[in-house]
Amino acid sequence: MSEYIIDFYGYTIFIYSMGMIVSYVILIWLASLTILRSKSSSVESYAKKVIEKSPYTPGVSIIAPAYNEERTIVGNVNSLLAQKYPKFEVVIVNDGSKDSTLETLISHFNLVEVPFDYVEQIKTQPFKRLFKSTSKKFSKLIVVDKENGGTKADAVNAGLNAASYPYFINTDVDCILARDAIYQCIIPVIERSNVIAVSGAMAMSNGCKIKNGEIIESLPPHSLIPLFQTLEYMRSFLIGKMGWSAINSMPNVSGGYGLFDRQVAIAAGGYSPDSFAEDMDMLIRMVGYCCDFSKKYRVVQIPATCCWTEGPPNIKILSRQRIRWGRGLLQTFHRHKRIIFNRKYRQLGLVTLPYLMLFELIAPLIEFIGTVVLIVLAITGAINWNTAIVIFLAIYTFCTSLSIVVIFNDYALGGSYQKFKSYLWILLAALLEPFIYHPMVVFFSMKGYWNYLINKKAVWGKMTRKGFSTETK
Amino acid sequence: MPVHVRQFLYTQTGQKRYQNLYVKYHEPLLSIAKADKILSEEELSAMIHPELVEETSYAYNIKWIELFISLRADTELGEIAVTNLQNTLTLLGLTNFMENRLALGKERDKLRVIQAARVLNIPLANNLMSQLVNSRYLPLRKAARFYYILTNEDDPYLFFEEKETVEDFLVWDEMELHQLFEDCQKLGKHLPSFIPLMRQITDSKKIAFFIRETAYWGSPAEVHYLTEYFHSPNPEFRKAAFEGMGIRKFAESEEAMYAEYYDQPETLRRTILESLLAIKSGKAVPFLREAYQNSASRFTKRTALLCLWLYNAEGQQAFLELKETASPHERILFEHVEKVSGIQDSNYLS
Repeated sequence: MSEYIIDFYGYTIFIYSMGMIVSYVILIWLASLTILRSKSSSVESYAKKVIEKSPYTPGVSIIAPAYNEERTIVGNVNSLLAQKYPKFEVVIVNDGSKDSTLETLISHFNLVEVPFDYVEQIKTQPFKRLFKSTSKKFSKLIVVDKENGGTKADAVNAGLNAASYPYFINTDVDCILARDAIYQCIIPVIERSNVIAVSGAMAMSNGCKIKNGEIIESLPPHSLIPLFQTLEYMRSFLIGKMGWSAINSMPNVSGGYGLFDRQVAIAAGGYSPDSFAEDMDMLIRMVGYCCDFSKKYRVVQIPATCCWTEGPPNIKILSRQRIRWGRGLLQTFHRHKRIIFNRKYRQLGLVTLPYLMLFELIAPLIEFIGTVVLIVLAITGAINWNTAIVIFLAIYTFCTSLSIVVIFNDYALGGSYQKFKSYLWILLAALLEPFIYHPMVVFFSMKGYWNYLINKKAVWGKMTRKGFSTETK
Repeated sequence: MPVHVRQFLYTQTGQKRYQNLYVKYHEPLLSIAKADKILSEEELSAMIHPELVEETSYAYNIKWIELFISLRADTELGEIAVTNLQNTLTLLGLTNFMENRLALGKERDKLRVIQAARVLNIPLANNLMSQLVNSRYLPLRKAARFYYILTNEDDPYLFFEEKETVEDFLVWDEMELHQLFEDCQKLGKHLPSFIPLMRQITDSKKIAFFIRETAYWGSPAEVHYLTEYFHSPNPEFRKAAFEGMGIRKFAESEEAMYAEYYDQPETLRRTILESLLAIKSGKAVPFLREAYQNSASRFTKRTALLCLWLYNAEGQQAFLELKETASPHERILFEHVEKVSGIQDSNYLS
């Protein structure tokens, strides 16, 4: 009997692994298609000129929540205000900061409180005040002061209520945006129809040289945890999301940077304050809204790196982030279970969510069980070590090859790093990841699932950031 | 994957070639484009030194074309600039290259040639263009059709009249066409009226677009015709027509807009108010006041108040009178308008 169980388990894992490998190969192919198709038909400088002058250029609101960011808020906001786009505003939402974030903003940007008829299209914690600058230089800046909502989602919703333009970018205040980030994301909106969301690629700012809120030299981090995350981000954007974008099946636009149709976001109910994966939850609800009301939609991933963000620098902060993500993933699937395998929701319901359920949600469990079984079999002497080594090498080679494809794609796109040797660090991460980083992430994901199942009280931890204070002199 | 690798190599080397040309020749070409007279061949040779140009391979010639297109971004198109740039193209032997690529080149090459021809007003062979207007490659087909508008004097809007359109009319198409019409105006090229076209086509997005474009470029009689769309059952057309009056500052339309105001949904009422503000004939204050008093929508009330405040001294007086009698619930609207409009807020109206 036990033999049958082991055989059954072995075949299941084999089929599962082969399915995962094949799906990755398909995603790589689809990602290549998207990259090839993403090139605009117009010469960039001419297109930018047309966009700069045209009365049809859509306006964009950059919404960035801020909570206890006194040390870095001025540099961050200056960075956001430096966007090269003719029609945008920056909406900073001070989410009940306990430090002097608001005071710092007021003094540096010459802000005055203005009476504002705040219309609550999405329910949020109470709005307190709105500030605008008396200086023409900062005329694009709006600061919304509100009571703390406990989550980023509530703050972004307040920003949505106060924003003026038909499109908005959701970003973190400490993210560094490329100067033409809005331009890059608006191109798919104007060159295609029915685009409700655009995801720009993100990269890690850990290790980069920063001056005046701008990346002056992009370098990989030299410490392991951020280095692994760098590779993970590249893989996620350049293979995963690019691949899904080819068949209009993206499950998620990162909360760190994404452009959205404001009207659709509000109609879908805004961001969910009690979600631990509010970005994925938001996109699923936006797509769900479009499908429910038979509206055409398109969600696009562009290969251009639009945003640099500081990733968790150590295991402790990484663990908090990944436990929250794991919890959020399970929560999202639970909340949107009606969409899974539902034909009404097209690719999202029939392809993406079932895929993610099988190869992302359940994967940590399968890996954990597999590890336990491996240990038991090793102890009982039931492993054919030659076969095991061959299988291990095959999987390891595939994983490393996948990472090499990602590195190649990033370099080919003129992405993260100017110097080729910077990619050698990423290659190092690719070689070590299966042994060090991946098991950690699996464990944290499972912990996140467990916390969700037992409904453990969540506490948003403090992300220690170095921010622009490490600017190159 | 081999396609991807080829594309990577092509893109990387192409970018290097373009950068190389940009660094060496962008400034001299910009000087040519900004010259205040038509330059002779000798003067052009002295500025660009064609005998010393080494970058003459096929791969480089395509990048030359892109460089000329990007020049357009840095120059205002006028007859002198266009003539000088056309002569420079001929001097560099690129005119022959463009004709050759149009006949024999890859689709992306043809696209670049047509884009350059459009932005620099270069004539291309009709027999070649007639094949491209029905190309299966969508960007090329669109570029060719837009070019057709620029060059065909008999029926420039032929392709907009097609009953079957496979592709959507995109925001980028609107932006490019608007730029094209602006360039035509600057070059003194008279385009036929859009009105017969608007009567013929059925795509509502295109009709709304041409309504706005008539407001931008049409004669006063054509703009007056747009008031017919005030009664259209299609709200997109009504919105475009009301916006058009503000774009053109067409004061004669004010009475007609007053008459239509109360038949509109709130979003279109706000469009009318914004157009009245843009027109600023000096006569709209009583109407704006009434619009505030009779509106049930806070957004419309806010818009009406802003229009009053920004209209003129009489409007501000009316604003203050209304403020004195405003309920506590509505006071915030007045304070919002007073304070916010005092701080340069160009994106306020929404």
